[in-house]
Amino acid sequence: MKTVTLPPDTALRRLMRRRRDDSLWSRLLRRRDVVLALAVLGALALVALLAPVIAPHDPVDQDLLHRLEGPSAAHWLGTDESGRDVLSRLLYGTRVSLGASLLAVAVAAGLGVPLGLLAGYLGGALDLALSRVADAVLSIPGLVLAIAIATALGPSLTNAMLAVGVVYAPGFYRVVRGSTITVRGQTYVHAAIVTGCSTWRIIGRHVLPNVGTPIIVKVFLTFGYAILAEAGLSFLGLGVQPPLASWGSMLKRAVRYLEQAPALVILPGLVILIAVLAFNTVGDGLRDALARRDREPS
Amino acid sequence: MSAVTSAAMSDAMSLDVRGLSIAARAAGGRTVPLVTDVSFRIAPGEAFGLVGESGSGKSMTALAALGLLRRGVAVTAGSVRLGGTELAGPGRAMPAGVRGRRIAMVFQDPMAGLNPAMRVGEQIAEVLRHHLRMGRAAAARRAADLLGEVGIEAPARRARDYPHTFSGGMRQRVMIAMALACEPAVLIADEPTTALDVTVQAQILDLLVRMQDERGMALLLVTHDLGVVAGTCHRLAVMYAGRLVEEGPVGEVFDAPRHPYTAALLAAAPENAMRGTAPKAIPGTVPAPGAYPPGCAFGPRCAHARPGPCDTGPVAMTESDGRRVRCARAPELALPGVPR
Repeated sequence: MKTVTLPPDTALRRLMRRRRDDSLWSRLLRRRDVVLALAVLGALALVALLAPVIAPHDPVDQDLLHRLEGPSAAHWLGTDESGRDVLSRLLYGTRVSLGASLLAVAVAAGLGVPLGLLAGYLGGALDLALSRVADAVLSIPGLVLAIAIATALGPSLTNAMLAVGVVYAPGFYRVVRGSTITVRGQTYVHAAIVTGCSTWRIIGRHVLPNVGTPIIVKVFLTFGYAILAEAGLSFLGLGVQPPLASWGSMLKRAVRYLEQAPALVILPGLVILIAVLAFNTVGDGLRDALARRDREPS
Repeated sequence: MSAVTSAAMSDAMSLDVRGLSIAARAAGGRTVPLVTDVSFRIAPGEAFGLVGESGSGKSMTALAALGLLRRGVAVTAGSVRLGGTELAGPGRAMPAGVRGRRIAMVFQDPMAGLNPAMRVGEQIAEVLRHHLRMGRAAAARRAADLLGEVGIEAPARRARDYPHTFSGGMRQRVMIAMALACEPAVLIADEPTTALDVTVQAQILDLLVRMQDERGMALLLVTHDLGVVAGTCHRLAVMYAGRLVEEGPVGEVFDAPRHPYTAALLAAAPENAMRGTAPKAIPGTVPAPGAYPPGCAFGPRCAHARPGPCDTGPVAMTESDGRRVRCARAPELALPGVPR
């Protein structure tokens, strides 16, 4: 039997290549900016987990003889106004900032996803009531509410980020509710009803997995906002309390020494910028990759 | 005595639709009747075709039997019973444990009928675990067996695949396997082959008929295609504008239809047209629910309508020698049938 060899660039070959590469991951990883952003996020996560291992100094150790120094062999990124090692504070700050953002995203998703599923699937009066509440929360400026709650409960990063989570919950609610309404009309949900599945089982097993992808996109985009919210609240003194460091609180203290040591402002600012950019890039990349799946692969 | 028992037995298993009426709530508190006074009965082992154009109420009737009516649409009179269990009636909720266990459904669109995020074997096993309380491993094995029964190659391996790796016809086979998982007494198939390629249609119909026959199920086949009914069903009922207009054994109805609408439908099928001539279309369109003409609903489109007898109505159905028809002129008409 004769083996057929395809010419190097036939339509068939392109079609075959396209088929093989059509998974979500491969489409995502074909974009260099997304790959880079994913690498950044991976590095940040590692830093957050391993901060005590990799930090060269204790982040709260003061050395008043070496205040506001520039980079040196002992302090790679210099020292701050109390002589603390800036690199170590940034590394530990990653842990605080990402942890706080994770809390806010978890609260937002934890509230928004189940309520969105219920409202979208059951509809009726419940949907009406929940949607009005969501609209009301959305109409309040997020940071202002967070500030109010943090002031009322006492300044603590946990309180502030719980408030931020509540403010971001309607975003998840809306995305999930909308997708759920689409999925609810699908024949496979009717088929599940007809096979006698309980409502909870249908929501958990048949609806949730099929609204999962927009939730993932939303998680990444919300994470970026949460980092900014944390930085903003800490900058106002409502977040993490001294001597602990987060990216935002480092900015706050450094502003006073802007003229003597501009690096103290620039470094945390740069880290915040990179982190937010990375989260948004991955979120956008995911959204594009998902959107293209519905169309003809191009 | 044994005759009584077997009659009671078949009663216990047959699907009995009696005087079923369904209406939709419209704006301003009005109700629009969608289905009016539909009655038929399907015995175990019997395949029953429910035929009509889009909007005739045939799918609505099937959905009511499964308690799947949309919000704002409700049963206003009559009942659907399966043996002693009332499945649908005014203000009645579907009893638990019946759907999927004693009555199951195959849907029109197999491409959307399977959960894309779940392996097909799991979807079948889910039904078994829920209704028959089977263990995980036993349910998985049974699911693979069922896939084999409906003609899926290498069922044990395919059970672990996701729906997007199946073709439309294969998915419809999976849907049938899922519907049959708990050996239901009644299977409802709503246009099961409409979304499929013509070559696959025949295979799926064969499969449905074989499964129905082997298991002695009652099959309610909802379709607009008389050809499908001819090849699969024992009896059929024709619906028009929310009412039954004719009901009887398939062979007799095809040979000698008694309602002008049935005769017109038969004449309109391309395969029944004389070679070289166009099929005879029925003039006009189906009236929208809520806008039925006075008198006989089919009157304005009927070639046999006469002033007088057809102006009052809709007339009651008359029954003779096992056939029912709703037409004021039925006794005097001799309508042409088609050879099968």
